Amino acid sequence: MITSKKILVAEDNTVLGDVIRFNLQRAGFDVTIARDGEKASDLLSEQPFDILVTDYEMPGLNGEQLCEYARKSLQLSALKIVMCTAKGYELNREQLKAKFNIEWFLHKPFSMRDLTKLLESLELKSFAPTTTPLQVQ
Amino acid sequence: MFAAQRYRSFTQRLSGQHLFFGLVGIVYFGASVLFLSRWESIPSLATALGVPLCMLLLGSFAIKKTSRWLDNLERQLLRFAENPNHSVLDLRPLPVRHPLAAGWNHLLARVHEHSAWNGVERRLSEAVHSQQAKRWETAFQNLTDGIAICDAEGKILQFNRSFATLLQRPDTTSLIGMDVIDLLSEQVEEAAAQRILSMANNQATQVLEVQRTADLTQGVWRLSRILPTNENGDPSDSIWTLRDVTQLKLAEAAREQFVFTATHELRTPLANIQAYSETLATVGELSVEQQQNFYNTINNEANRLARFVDELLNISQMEAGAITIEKHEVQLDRLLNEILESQRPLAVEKKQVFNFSVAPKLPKILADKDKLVAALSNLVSNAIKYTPEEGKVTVRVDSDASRVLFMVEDSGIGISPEDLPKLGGKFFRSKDARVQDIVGSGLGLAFSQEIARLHGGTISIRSELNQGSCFTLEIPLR
Repeated sequence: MITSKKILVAEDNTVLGDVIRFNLQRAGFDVTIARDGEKASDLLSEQPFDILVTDYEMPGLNGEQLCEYARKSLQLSALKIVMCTAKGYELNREQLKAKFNIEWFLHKPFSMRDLTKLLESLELKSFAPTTTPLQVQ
Repeated sequence: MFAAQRYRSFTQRLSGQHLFFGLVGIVYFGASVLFLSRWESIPSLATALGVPLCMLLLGSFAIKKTSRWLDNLERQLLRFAENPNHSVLDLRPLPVRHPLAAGWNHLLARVHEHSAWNGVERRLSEAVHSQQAKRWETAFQNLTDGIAICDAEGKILQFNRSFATLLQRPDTTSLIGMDVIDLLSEQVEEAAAQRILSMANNQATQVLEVQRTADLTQGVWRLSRILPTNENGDPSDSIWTLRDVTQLKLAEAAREQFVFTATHELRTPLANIQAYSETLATVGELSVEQQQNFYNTINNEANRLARFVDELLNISQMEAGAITIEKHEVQLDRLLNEILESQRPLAVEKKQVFNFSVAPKLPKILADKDKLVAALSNLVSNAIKYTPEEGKVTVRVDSDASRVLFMVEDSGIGISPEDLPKLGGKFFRSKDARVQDIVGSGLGLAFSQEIARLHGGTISIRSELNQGSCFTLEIPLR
């Protein structure tokens, strides 16, 4: 039997958090919601998750700091990260993506169906993701 | 003076020559008579000589008398010969009736007239020039832009007050002779100093924007240099202009921040609406209760969006200075209830103690109810926003014979003394990390202040960092 993917959603907007949980649970994921960055970091250090879906703007620890904590402090290199944000061009996505090996950026408002499909499509790997590909001279 | 001593006047010479030649003639005449009469008629000789001699003297006297005015003229001219700077005003007209004298008198009148005009002109031009110079100097000194005129080596020749003030040397009596690049560089961080130096060495760069330190509020200068050329076409002096564009830059940064904030504020309810409506549309097996909840959420989020759009509209009206108020008699308790109802849920969500204390008998006031509700709601929602969970927000309303006071007190993060004067400036948001975490446009208070002002009232702020704040909106009773 295939165990369902364990997903941590860090979202300070409770209204959105609720509907994300509803949709992801219906799709068969094991969903935990953290209402701010600090709670999410505590949960990450306590139990294993396959995927982290995090908002960028959160009180306390923001999405970037949470990724830093997960990748650097907890060494969670296998954790897949999806970041959603209401921020515009002021956020340097490419840099963030490369720095924390982020799988995908979702731009608010986003479709629940897209989120579900995206999470279903993420292949789980038990080994650490490869570092950035070698530059061919 | 030596020439004057030797000088014999025209009249003297004329009568002298007259006498000399006359006497020679008489002597010759007398000698001839004596020779012809063989020295016998000496007595008759005396008579014969006496008459011409008398005539001669009479002639000399007549010459002197006739040419006396010429003598006067001569003396006057002589004074000019001796001293070329002698004033033309000392020339006197000749008091005789003679065409020549009349000519002199006319000439003199013209000279006097001319000289009088010259004097007036000179005095006027002096007055005008000195005033013009003074005006230029006043303008130069009072320009808000700092200006320094430097020589080819960059040493300051002249500077105005703003220049000294911008360089934070208002008490320095003189910067003259100092190196302008050194002066500018010592006011900025290393990287900025390098940019100034490269501007100085590169004639192509004439304008440079310099941020003094990494912190924008520490000042941003717009530095420009003009290199006027002299008559040979070579650059001689350089003119440096220094403008403080800090406020402009801060406003730009705040405006940018506002756009980010506004888009975030718009996206958040939109994201919720989209998520819930999509779920309703795609998920078939929802219970009636669930459906009801989802519809309510969509409705709430749509309201939130509408409120924010209203706020944006208020802001744009305020920006355009186009807010108007329509005063009607307003029942204060109703107005307060409306605010209470809309704000209480926010406080409840943050588990705050939300107190409302209203004096028992409040007067009716003349106000624009909707605008006043918006202004007060801003103050209350700010208090809730900037007060941590489980904090305390108290709204008190009081009145006396002349005014109504709305006091919104909180136990929140407070405002630092540095930020306090900047509060209410459009788009201003504190650098405090706790404030940065909270969504806000930096326009709410500015809007409330504008509404207070339009009602003839004010908003006063009392605050202590980490202790809390009290905003008091005061409206006069008419």
